[in-house]
Amino acid sequence: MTGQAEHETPLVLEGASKQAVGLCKQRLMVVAMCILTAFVVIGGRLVDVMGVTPVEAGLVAEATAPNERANIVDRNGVLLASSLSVASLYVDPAEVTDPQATATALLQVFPDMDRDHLLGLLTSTRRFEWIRRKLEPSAQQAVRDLYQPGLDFAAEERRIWPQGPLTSHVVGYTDIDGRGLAGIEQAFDERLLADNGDDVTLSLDVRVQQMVRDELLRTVETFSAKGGTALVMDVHSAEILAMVSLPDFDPASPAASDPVNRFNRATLGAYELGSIFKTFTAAMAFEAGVARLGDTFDASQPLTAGRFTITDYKPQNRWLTLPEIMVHSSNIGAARLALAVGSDYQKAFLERVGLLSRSAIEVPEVGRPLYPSRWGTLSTITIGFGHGIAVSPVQVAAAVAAMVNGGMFRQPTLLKRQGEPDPGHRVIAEKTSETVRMLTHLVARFGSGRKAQVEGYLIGGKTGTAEQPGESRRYDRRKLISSFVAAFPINDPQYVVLLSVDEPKGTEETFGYATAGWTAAPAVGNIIARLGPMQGILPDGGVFVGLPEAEGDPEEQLEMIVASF
Amino acid sequence: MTARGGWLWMIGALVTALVAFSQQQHARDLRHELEKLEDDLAERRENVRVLAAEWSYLSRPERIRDLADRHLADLVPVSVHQLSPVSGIPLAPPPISIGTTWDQSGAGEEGL
Repeated sequence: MTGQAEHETPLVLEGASKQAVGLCKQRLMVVAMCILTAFVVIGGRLVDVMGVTPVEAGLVAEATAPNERANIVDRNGVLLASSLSVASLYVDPAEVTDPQATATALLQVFPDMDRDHLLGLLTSTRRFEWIRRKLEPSAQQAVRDLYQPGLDFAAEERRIWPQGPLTSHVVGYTDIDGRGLAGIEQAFDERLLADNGDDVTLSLDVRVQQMVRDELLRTVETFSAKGGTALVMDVHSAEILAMVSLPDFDPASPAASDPVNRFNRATLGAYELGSIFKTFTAAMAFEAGVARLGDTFDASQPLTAGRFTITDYKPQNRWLTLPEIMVHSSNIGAARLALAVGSDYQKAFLERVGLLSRSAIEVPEVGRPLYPSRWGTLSTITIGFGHGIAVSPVQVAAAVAAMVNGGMFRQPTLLKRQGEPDPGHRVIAEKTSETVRMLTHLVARFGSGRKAQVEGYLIGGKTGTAEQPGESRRYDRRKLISSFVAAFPINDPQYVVLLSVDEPKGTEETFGYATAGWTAAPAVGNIIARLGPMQGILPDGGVFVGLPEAEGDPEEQLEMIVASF
Repeated sequence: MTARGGWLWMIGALVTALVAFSQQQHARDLRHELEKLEDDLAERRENVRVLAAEWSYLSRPERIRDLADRHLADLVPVSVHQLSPVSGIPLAPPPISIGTTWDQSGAGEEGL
């Protein structure tokens, strides 16, 4: 190499030539750099393009996901309301070539449509007119087969309620555009329409709901009543397992039913429930310390208060103890208890158990309780036995649950509790709750609630028969509201069952009686007899814990028990 | 050297272009497939909704009750008498001692 270099004559550039070559090299370098940069950029972009770009895929997926109204399901996931995609027929009148022919063709598929109305739509000056919305698939195919220009379909959502009238009052219904108009559909409208659309899970159990509806329907029919309501509530969580109001309606065509059918008696109705309130009066008297179990109250003669005379349905004409007041459902006795407790305490107590304000239950149809604005002595007396105050059945069930569950009040709910239950707030002492359980048990064993007794379970309950104001706004003896509220198993209550019938008529079997003991109590008994095994509640020993053993006929037994206090 | 370099660059560019083109085609095919799958999924989802609604309709407690009345006349709702706590089931009887016979046979087997 070195030798070669020696005899080769090296080209030596000097002056202008040398300068020119140098410039050339520089320019080449610049061009090469530019090309290199371009290639690097293109190469980089290639890698970028070849690499999977999940962002784009995500966009596609999101765009095609349908935004459907979410489902409503019961506590076990049974579908109560769902949305299906259906086709709706519309027309672009500008594309219709022969309105007469199109109208004739459409009338073959929809014979119930009016020809003139149809022609009006087909010749409209607008570019869009609905012809018929939410078609059945067969009707959609029939319209396609007409091959008429201008007709087209738009995908719409149709709300369906597979359980029909069963849960109609709770679930509610929607309008044709899928907006909730009643019940849970209205209360949770926004949540149901939200993008992620999780199901709304209710506390209802359709099996219990069906059973309760059957029993209520039978009672309403047997006693030719105007209607009725029944509900089952878990005493510890205040969840409602069943809530029925009769008559009811088909949510798919609410307009076809009488407005009366759409009235939810369990939440919107405010009724004077009568003697059921004696349960609260007894509880507050015991809680306030004005009545111990052995204390007696004068029910020997009617009580006069202002213009009114308070009498008993089955007068005992003697001094009665707290248990006897409950068992004989003595108005006079309850009035004495209420007077002993006092107006202020009574009002505060009823306020605490949620009976003086609207229930917090989730449906929008919630009635306001009715009670006198001036809570005088007369009001105290009448409210003591459940007159002069009108409340919704669901409120009463929640208040009764607090009386028997150890004294914790919780607002009733139609939503399944997730996780820890609401701790609630204490309204009566544990000891008072125990006493209320005993008192209601005595009513079911010896009093007006006897016909609710069920083999296998000890129950506690209280009847309430109230006269309703007639047309002349005076109480009408023939227009009764007969109700029964029960808790079982009464030694450790799990459920409260409340049933109320509106204007029952006595039958031959009931010797013409339409009072709660003859109408509502047996129905509640039937419900408990079926609910217990359904929920796996084991039969109890048939002995109320803490009561002395008593023998003989019922009156002697009650006497022995009362004497033991 | 310069010429060979140019060829290399050219072939390189060609190959890159081909790869890029085929990748683009592949991506387009995949996108179409994705769209088809999305449509398919939406259709299936809708079918599931329809079937769930039908199932809920057909398994209404009312209908099941009527069917049971018609076809299962012997079955009645569970009554409270049919429920019993686990503690109500008697325990298995204590093992019976069969004494010497067992010992002997056991011993005999061991002997074998």
